[in-house]
Amino acid sequence: MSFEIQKEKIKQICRELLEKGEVDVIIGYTAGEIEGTRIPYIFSKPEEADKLEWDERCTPNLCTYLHGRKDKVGIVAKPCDVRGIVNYLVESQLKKDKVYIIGVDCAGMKDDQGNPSPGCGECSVKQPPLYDMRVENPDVTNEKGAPPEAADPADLMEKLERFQNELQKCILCYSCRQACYGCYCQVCFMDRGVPNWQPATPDLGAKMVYHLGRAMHLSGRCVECGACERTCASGVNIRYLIKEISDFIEKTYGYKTGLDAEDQPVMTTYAFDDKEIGFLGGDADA
Amino acid sequence: MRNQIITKEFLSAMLKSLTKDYRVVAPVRNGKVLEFMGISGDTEIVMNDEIPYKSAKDCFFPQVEKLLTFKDGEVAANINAEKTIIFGMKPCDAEALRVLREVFLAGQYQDPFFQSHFENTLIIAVGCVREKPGCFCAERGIDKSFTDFCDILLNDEGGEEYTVVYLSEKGMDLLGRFEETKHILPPPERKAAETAPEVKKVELNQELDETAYFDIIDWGKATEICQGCGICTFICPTCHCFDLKDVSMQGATDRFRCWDSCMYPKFTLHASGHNPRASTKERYRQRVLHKYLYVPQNFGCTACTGCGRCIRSCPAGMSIRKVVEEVMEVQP
Amino acid sequence: MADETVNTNREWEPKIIAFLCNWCSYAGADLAGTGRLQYPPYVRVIRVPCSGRINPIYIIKALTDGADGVMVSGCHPGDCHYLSGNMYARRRFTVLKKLLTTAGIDPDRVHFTWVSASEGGRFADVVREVTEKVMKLGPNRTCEYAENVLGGNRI
Repeated sequence: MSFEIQKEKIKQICRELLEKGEVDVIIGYTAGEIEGTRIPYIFSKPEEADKLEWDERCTPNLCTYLHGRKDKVGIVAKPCDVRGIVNYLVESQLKKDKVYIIGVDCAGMKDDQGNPSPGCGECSVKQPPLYDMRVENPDVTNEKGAPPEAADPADLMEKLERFQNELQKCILCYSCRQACYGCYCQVCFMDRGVPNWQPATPDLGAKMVYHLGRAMHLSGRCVECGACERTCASGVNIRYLIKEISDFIEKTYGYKTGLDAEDQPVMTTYAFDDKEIGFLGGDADA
Repeated sequence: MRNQIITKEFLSAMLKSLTKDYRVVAPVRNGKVLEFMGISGDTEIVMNDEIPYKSAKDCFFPQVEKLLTFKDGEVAANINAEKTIIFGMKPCDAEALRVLREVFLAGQYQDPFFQSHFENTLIIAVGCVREKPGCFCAERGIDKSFTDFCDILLNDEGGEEYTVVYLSEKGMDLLGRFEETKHILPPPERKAAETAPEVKKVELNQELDETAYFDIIDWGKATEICQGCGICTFICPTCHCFDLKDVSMQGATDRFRCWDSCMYPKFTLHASGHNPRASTKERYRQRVLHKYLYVPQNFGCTACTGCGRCIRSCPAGMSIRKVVEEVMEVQP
Repeated sequence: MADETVNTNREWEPKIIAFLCNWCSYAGADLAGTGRLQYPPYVRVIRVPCSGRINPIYIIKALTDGADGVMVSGCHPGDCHYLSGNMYARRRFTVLKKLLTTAGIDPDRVHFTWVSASEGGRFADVVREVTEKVMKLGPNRTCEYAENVLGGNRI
């Protein structure tokens, strides 16, 4: 219901922005070839705004498309997309005057079965933290959702089994990397020849290095948009790893990604009294 | 036709009993997805009309395959494919194998590794009942319920039964091993008209030179949303690009053949640092033209069977069919 | 991957990769040597300019390539030759250890500590402690486990 109202408002805003020439292009969602799917839509003519869509299937994280653009972009952004943009600003990957954020309150996305989309169930940021124009939904509050169904097992062997069970499905196509807003390295460490990070075992070892390395690179940068899990054609959920360290970072350093554009990235700063959790003779877990 | 029928229950038991002598590969649920996997006695084989998210090409052309071992100045080739039965390949998958066979086995040089897999594999194909979202096999000229590029062909009769026909001696021998399937016959002669319904084919004009296609549409615009991930090439039944990789360990060196993808920047990166296909635009164009122009020109068959996997699995919702249709509209 | 010639724990000798900062811990190791202190001989030392130079992927790669343990040591906080390299490293390692534990890699395989140039005795103690913990865990079979147990029915 309120999706319809929001959709009309988004269309109107986009049309006006393009007519006034405030932005060069708009990135939004439109209907995909397969019924019900919503895909990214990049357009520059006001009349093309009619094809915009906004409903509970608008899952792709659009801020990946901001990277490397030279023109001024208007973007229809869910709160998780906005968090991505904020983190781009924090990491100096984007200038604020190059982007016009149409922040949309998001009641949570659904997959084709009607279940909450990965990341949406436990989402705690449903209103955009930064915007130039906000499309509100009065029903949406920033209340934290239910925790994910599968909690991390306590036993180390079970943890290993869980991790390996996810890896077993992976075919190392790197679509999670490409879909991730945070993976914007010009050359990924997995693609480097010198030094070659690919381990000696080309199959499982490579998957381990890739997923652990990527998780490490995303520590303190993940905005929990769920793109990695949703994108994966093989149904691999490696997001739980990153989620676990995001929670750990929030607890230990009091930092949540993508809420404030004035922040310093958590891993490129330090405090003298940082805890030494897991060090030899270090502190206990917080 | 009544005696051409077997039940799914019997088929499942039959496949499981064959695991003693063969590696049996069948659609199995793996987490959220349906996938071709090796089965054992207690695996549940999925026998509905679903299509596995990934093709079965890795039975013939594994994602990582050890080709050679160098040790103490000797080279040993690793050509010993297991005897395999693949159950559940759809006609589009089987037709795709025809393309792979052309690529790997036709012409001056044959690939012994592929050949070994190919010769040791028996294919039990299953016709599709319905088209899935994204499928366009009809537009590619493929019958969703029939292919002759398999050993045994099954067709779901709705409910718990399959009609069975064999299309090769291998298939006949296998059916002959079981009392219940001894009497099964090959299919009746098919009339050509029956198999070619009137649909507009999705294909490019082969008369044109490749350079004519380089700027035929605005490739940059058409591929603007492509993220360049490469999942389309990995799950594609006909994609066959690979890379060789040597791994040295404890005095021996193994040479592996691993899948590669034209969607990766590293695929065409030169040693000098120059990359002739610098952006997604060129890479995607290459993928389309390779499938619809280069393979037809070189091998006489189009390297796309319309299985729709790349459309269904694309994280950005790119559709190769739409792009080709866009080109078809403007091609002379 | 483990050598075929070492099957039982008795013959097995752990491979421990030690990343040592050039200015403190490496000198500390040197001091332990010149002081003729005895410590287990299983560490393979890699000298790095600063603990802040250590890319977490070094550690991940060491573990996936078959190292049985990894140990990292730098200057004490506040003593970094480059003023703050070890402070960044501290956060990084804290998070890395959490990550590895979540992925099911035993926390006792990866160790971080601080050893200064004058602490030859402490270096020997640390190596002794790390070796003891890694010995207790046995060979690192993280990758093999995956290949054998889960890789079985992959086509």
